[in-house]
Amino acid sequence: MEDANKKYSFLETEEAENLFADLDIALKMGQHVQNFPHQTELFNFIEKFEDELRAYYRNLFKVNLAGKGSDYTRYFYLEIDDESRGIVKTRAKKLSPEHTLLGILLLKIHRIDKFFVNDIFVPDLIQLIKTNEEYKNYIYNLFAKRREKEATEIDENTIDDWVRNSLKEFERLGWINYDIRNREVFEIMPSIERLFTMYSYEIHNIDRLIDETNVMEERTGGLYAVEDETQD
Amino acid sequence: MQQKQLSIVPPAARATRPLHFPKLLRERYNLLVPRQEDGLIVLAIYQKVRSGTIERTFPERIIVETIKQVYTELGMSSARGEETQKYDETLHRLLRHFLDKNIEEKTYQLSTYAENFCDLLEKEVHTAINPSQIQKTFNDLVLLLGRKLESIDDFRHWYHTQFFKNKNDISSQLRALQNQIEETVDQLNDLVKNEYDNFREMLIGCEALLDKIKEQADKLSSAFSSKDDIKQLLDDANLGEVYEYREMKREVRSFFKDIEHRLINVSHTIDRIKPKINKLYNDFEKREFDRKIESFLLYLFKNSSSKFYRTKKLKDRKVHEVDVFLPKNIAQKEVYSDRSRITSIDYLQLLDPPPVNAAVLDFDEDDLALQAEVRRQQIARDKRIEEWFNVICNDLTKKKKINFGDYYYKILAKDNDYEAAVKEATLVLKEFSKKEEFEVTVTEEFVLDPKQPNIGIWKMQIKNIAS
Repeated sequence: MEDANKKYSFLETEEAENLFADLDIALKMGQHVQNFPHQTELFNFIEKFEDELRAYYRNLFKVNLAGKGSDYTRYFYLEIDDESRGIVKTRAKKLSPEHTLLGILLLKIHRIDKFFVNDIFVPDLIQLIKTNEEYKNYIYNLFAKRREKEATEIDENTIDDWVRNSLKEFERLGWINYDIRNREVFEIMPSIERLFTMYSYEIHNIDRLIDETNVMEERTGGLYAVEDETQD
Repeated sequence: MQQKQLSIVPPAARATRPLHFPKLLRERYNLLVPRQEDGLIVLAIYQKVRSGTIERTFPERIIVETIKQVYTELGMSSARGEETQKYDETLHRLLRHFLDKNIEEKTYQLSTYAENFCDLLEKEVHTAINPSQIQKTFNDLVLLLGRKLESIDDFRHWYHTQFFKNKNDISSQLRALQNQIEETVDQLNDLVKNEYDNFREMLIGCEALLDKIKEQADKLSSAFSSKDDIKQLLDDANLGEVYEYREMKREVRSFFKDIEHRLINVSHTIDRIKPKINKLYNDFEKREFDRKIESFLLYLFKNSSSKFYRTKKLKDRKVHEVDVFLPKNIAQKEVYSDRSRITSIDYLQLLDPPPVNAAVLDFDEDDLALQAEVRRQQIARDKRIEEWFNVICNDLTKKKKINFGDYYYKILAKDNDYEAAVKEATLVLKEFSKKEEFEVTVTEEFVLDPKQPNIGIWKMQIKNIAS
């Protein structure tokens, strides 16, 4: 009993009284916590009791408290790892394809374009997506089954909704943070990198994936991947 | 001496004269202008003296050593036994114009001609760009010109001494700038062709070099600003009547025009190179890893698919209800979410639902068969009506106008179904009245058919007004 108390002594601290409930709920809802003004207190609390907290979640909830990045880009989150898989399967949620697509797009903006150094104005982002020569046609095809030039108001609304709903989900996950004074402005958080770690295998092997897809298309005349006709 | 004699004649006039070289120059040309190995030997000695590696006067041993070095460098090593003879020959050639020998001390030194020659070579290749020097040169040129425009003799003196002397310095400054650009471009080309580990550093180096060149070009441009003063002074002079003056003035002006042109060219070249450098930076930044993220994103967009449902009405707008599917080989990833435990509860059955009483139903078998038959007849009639409607539509595309009465009696004759004919009339009237390309007119005039004496129908015409 004494050992157990020592193990989770952070629970006895005054900080825990103020912060732990919030932190626990945030982490369990899948949020990523990083050293940004809106999460500084929670972040500092994790950093201070990192080992104890990790043991707490491992022993009592069978999940891993992961910490990635360094210094300014460090972030924490709960994950189901190989040890906990199977035991806590019901506590995982799949990131929807819609959210995945926008997430990878934000990751690209964050890592490569750096068009927006800090604040991103949501209408600007939507405009950028709708006018980008490289992928706008694919987006209109996915969300409107039409080309950009032929898009109706409903089509445009659908794309707007895709972006805004995904951003809401990312806010919940802590991958972005809205400006508290203006909900039309947000900032990409370092934890958006989590998406990269999730898809690192696919990204590293993208050339092979493209080749395989091309070969498959040649063989089948491009008929194999018509999801929408085969799925209900 | 000869040069002075030649240059007294204005350039334009000079060009028309037959070529005339002094005999001595022609004979000694090959000694005055050294072959490559001799030139390099002289240059090597000149550099050694300047750097202090050897004294101004040096023993024969130094010359032989230098000859050996240059021959090795040029891959011109001789067979054993022939070397000494070759060194001797070289030394003798050089002694004609490039080396002076102190017989008493048995030492050698470079001749003034050799020093000038080396100086010229270096100036041509590595002129230090010195805008402030050029500024001073120009100021002097303008200042002196102002005093030398009283007589043609004075001006000729200015032209042959000041202008000619400084013209080479000015040109070499420009050449130096152009050479620097060419060198930088070569480096850039080399960078593009070869994958260097320190690509980025090298690129930064090239960019800095170009910035420097541009800065120097700008400085030279402002240094050359007094060329306008020279032009002005030349225009204002009262020597315009003299042919020689006009020729010389033309030469001066075209020289400055050329300089101006070349300076603009330098700036333009740099402006053209700059965007290419930026592109190289971008390429570098996006290399490999970032490129892969971009490819991945594009792959996802390109190969994902979607399924559409009904349009969904939201508070203030309508959207498509759509499900997106990632490509088959890209799995959806999981994030931890324990929210289900916090918010949702399993369905609780609080009350048993009331028992359902199954009603006992008796059927009249005969009536069922009759009902089925009536329904079959209805379906058959609907089908016939549809067929007749198609016939009318087809005819209307071919003809301009039809009388419905004809079809009405045809239906009666063929199908013997009064109800079908009436329903057809209703359908035709309803459908064609809606269509803008058709006009339906009904007049209170009976259309009759002798085969159907008891039946009549108002005259109904349908016109195709589409074309």
